Amino acid sequence: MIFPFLLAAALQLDMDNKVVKPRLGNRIAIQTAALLGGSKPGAYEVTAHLNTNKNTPGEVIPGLRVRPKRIQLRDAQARKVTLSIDADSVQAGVIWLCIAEKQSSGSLLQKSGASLQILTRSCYQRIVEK
Amino acid sequence: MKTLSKLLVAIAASFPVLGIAIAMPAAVQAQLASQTTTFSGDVPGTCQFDLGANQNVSMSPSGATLSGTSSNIGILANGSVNVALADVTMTANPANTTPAPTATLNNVTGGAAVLGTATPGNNMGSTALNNSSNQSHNVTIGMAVTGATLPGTYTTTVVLQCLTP
Repeated sequence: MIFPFLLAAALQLDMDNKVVKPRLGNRIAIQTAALLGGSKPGAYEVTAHLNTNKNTPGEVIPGLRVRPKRIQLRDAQARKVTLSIDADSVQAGVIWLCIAEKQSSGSLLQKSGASLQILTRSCYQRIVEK
Repeated sequence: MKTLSKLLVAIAASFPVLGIAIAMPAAVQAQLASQTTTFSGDVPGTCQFDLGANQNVSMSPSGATLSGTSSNIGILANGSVNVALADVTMTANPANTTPAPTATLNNVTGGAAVLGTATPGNNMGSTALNNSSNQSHNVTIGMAVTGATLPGTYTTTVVLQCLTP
C-alpha cells in the first residue's frame, strides 16, 4: 500500500521584479511571505537553491540564512519571511526560492509494507545580478 | 425682490470663507482640483498543490516489482508553470536487497501523457505543465520498485516540484 500525505503552501513573490542584487554589504536580501493554499495547517520551511543544468532547483545555497527558520501556517494569514544570501555563494544567473513541508522525525506514514511518501515543493525563479 | 437681495447679502456675510476662496489665485485652485490618489499593487505568482489530504493507493507486487499510482494531485497556479520530480530515494528496504525505484509523473488534465521520470540521482528536467491560469490541473505519480526480492518494508520518497519561471 502507498500512503502519501501531502501538504502544500506558496510564496508571494512579485513576478515583474525577478532580479535580485546584493544591497547591504555582500548579501542579497529577499523579502517574501508564505501562505497556505487551501492545504492542511502545518510547519513549513523556505529555502533557496542553486540552479541545475536541467533548470530545476539543486543544492541549497551555502550560507543561506532564513528568518524565521520554521514557519507554522494555520490560517489564511501570510507570514513574512526574509532570506539572506551571501553573494559570494552564487553566480550571476538563476536561483530558486522554494517552500516545502518541514520534515519531522515523527512521520505519519505507515511504517510497514510498501509505501510511497510524496513530498511537494513550490519553487520560484529569481535572477541574481551582480 | 428687495427682500431677496437682502437675503443674498445676509448669506454672503455669513460665509466669509467663501469670499476668500473666490479670491484664491487660479493656479492654486487648479492644483487643488487635480489632486488624485493612486492605488497600486502587485499580484504575485503562486503555485499551490490543491489536493486531498490523505490518499490510500495500493501498490501491487508482480514478481520482484512493486508498483502503484497515486490519486490525482491538483496543481493550482495563476500562470504557466513547469513541473519536475526530484530526490527519488529508498528510505527503507530489507537487508540484502537492492531495490531500484523509478517515479513517473503523469499528466491527467488535458489528456493522459507521461511528463517525465526520475530515479535516484537522476532528477526529471523542468517540463511545461501546460496548465490554465487559476484552474486546477491534475497529475498523478506512478512508482515502480524493481528488485523487491525479499519480504519486508519498502519505503520510497519522491518530491514533486511546481516551478514558477
